[in-house]
Amino acid sequence: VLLINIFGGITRCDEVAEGLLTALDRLGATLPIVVRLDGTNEEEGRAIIAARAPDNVVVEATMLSAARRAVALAEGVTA
Amino acid sequence: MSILVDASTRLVVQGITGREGAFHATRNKAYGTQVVAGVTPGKAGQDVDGIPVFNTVEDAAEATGANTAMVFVPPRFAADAILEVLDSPVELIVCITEGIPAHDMLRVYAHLKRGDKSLVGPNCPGIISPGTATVGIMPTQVFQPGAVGVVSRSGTLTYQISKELALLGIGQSTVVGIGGDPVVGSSFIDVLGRFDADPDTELVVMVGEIGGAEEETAADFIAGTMSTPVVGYIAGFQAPPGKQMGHAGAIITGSSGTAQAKKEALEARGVRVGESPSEVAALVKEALG
Repeated sequence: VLLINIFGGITRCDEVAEGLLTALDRLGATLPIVVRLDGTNEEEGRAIIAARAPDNVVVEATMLSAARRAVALAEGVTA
Repeated sequence: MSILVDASTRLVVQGITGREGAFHATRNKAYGTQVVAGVTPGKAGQDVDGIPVFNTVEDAAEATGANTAMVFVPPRFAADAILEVLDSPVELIVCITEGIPAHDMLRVYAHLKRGDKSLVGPNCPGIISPGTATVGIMPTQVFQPGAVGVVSRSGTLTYQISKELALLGIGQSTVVGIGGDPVVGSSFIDVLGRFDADPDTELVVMVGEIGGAEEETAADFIAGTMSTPVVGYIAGFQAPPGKQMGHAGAIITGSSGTAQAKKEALEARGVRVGESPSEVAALVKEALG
């Protein structure tokens, strides 16, 4: 499981989301990925993930809930 | 109500025609900051979203009465950009740029300390007085007006802690990121002293991290000089010695600079230290009563 935890200031969440999609496209990675996007351009970033990310990418609203979800996925529990 | 940045701030943005400079100058302006000028050598006469561009800080200050400068200049030219402000009428400099060579900063630091101007950063997220003005790159939606001052070496942790405070209904007077470099213009003590003198700051959150001895020095200042209570947070309890953790200045050297040592130094002087951003917020709420 991969956990991506972003609270962007100078980092823009929409660029993180686009970068993630590009990486997935190039690598074809199928492992579960938990993403938390907060901060600059957070709504744009979440919208990009919601519209275009594959099913192995899940979005969580907070740092703690994202960490819990990642641990649960790693343990084979359906969160 | 606030320190360093407020409704009287008149901001000049150095490097305003660059990608980041233009983006954040425009956002600062949209938040309500008086962004009165930009500087990019050779581009005088242009404008960025209606903000006039000048060749030099001196020209910008003369034409617009700018009193605060924000530096978005690339690392190799950033030290010169700061020195240019030191020789202008502008009083406060906020340097966002990361990656300025330490030797360049030593030269800047020596020049800075000979005068009475203030530098916040480099490698910092800037300053926000919620509801009034912001100078920097902080995600403004996280903050709300209130009576807690925040001073921090880390941008992201500042956002996280401010968000946790907001969830408990607690706002901030001013939030200051002093930056993650080994050589920065303002220390914790410089900013703690300003908060202590601010009648509208009831409590201060100090967000430290591994490396250096700034937190230990601040612990003595808090106990010996300040009347405003302080709650602490130290990042990096799991950090391995010798490894740089994100910031250039965040590195444990030998046995010095560990999170545990900093926590103990603060607690020995009566400062409570939270182990997570949410625990910090809970301690603040408890302390405010």
